[in-house]
Amino acid sequence: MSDFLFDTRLERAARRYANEAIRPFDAVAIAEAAVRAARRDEESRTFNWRWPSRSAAVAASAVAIAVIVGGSLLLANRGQKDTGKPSPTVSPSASPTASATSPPVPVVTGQSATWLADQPANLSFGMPSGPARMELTISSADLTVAVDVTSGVSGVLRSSFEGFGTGEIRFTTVDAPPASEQVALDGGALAGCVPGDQGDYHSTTSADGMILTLTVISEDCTARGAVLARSWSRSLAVPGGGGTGVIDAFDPAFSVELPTGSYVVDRSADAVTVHQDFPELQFLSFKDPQGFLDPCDLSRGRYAIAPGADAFVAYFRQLAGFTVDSTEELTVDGLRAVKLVVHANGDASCPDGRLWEWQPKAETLDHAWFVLPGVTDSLYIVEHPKGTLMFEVLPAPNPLEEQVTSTIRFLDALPTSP
Amino acid sequence: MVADVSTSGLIPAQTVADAVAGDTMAFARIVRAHHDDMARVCQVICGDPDLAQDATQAAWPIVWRKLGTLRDPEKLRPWLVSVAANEARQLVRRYRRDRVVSIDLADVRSDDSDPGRRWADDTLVAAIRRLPAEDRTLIALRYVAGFDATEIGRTVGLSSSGVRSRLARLVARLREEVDDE
Repeated sequence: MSDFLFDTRLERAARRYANEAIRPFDAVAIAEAAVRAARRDEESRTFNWRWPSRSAAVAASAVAIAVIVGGSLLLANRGQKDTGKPSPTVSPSASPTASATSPPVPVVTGQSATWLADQPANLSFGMPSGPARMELTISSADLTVAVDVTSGVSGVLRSSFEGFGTGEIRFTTVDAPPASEQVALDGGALAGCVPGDQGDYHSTTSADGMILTLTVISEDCTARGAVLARSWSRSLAVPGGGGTGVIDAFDPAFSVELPTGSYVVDRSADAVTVHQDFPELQFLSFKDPQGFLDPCDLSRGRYAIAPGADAFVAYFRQLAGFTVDSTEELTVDGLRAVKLVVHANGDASCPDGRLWEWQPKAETLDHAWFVLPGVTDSLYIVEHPKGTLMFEVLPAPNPLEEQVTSTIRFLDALPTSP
Repeated sequence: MVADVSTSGLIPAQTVADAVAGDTMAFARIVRAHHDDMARVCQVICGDPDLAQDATQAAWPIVWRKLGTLRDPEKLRPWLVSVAANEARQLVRRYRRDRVVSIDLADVRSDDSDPGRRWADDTLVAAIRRLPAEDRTLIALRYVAGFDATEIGRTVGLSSSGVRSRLARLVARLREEVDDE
């Protein structure tokens, strides 16, 4: 083959490979997210730490002192002022956002928010279901709210809203609901909303921004009142701005606080990763992680890991290509846990460069997690009655990991009151 | 062979100026016109569609901050691609994990109806995937973005002659790997 023909062939192959990345995208959402991220990045560059870890605060103070020494008094004062305030103290009984220096997370910050509530036994949506969860999605993009139910009903009670964040909110039914939309309370069907129906509610948010409580002032549509008037927990398992919220990607659900940011979410069976790029931060959580017989070859199958933290540590101790650096006994929300620090050896070599580590027991597809040689994992493995749960904050090791994991609270049910 | 430059990616200079002035909607028009081009380059560098999208999205805040430094709006596309390519290279360096994407040849999709050519292309794609990220960057910038040696050199910090010699060795190596005589 001539050079020219091979060049053509190479271009064709490269461009076909490149097209694998093409996906639908929302240009406006990307642009708005980029502007927000750029502004946050600018803020962080000027020492305006919103949620510094203790070590970050110490580091920032050190920088500020260095600047003073260098003569830049104004900048130094700003750095000291912003970082010198006590950083939010994390303890098992106190949420960091309870700090007087941290403003409550706004209900609507220019991006959608999703709120969760368990479906009460006496409330149904036109189809029989077992325990289900309701999701109230507030879309600031088109100023609408709607309720989805994990039993399969979606877009219920779609309404426009106004006044959110002011303490009172008005919902207005815009379109006639589909005939299939049927809300029943205590076995009796409630009349559906009709266009123009208005409902006025008090809205309050807890100090940490996690709980939204709606109470009826007046409501034309009984069905909407039966569903919306309750306490809702903010979901962190959807793209959002961090803060305190609930991750319900597996059972048990749990609440956690993440630094304020701009996060996206990847979910798969019994696994969820909440992550942002600026600054880079990933919070990963798994249920019942299982290993692999050969870290170089997924096709050789899984290495079954028994329940409990010790079994997971034992898996890594025998896994070729990995070295356990340390284990530490601790508790997470009062449950026994082990912090495992393990790294893939720098000289470990697999054909594709990746060393496969684990995947959740419930995973039936190819989703699995891996590291590259030389990379360290810092894993929090928690023994919960419902399974072995594992958490990690990346990049690891990370000064935020203890701060984040100390805010984890496992939930038997979603909070019904602030 | 230089790759085509999509005319749909042309953005009026006024749109760039509006974005520099803080117009988010103008910025969104730039995103709409160029996001796919940037993602394609990132895909070849990262070797993973999810990472490619991450890198592309990570590039946009940088673009927003630095758009005012772009002196010639005619150079918008290569500048954007360079920003994205550098984000992709950084992401690969610090990359630790993500969801797996199958690395089997069977999953390298092809819409080519000629079985012989499809097999040949699949083999070549597999060979590209095995290259180090820095080499994949050269391939991406040359064959996907359509950069010349000077533009590639500006992006990766090499002289244009250095780019030409590295690309020549790289292409020779790929020919050898896929047994193309």
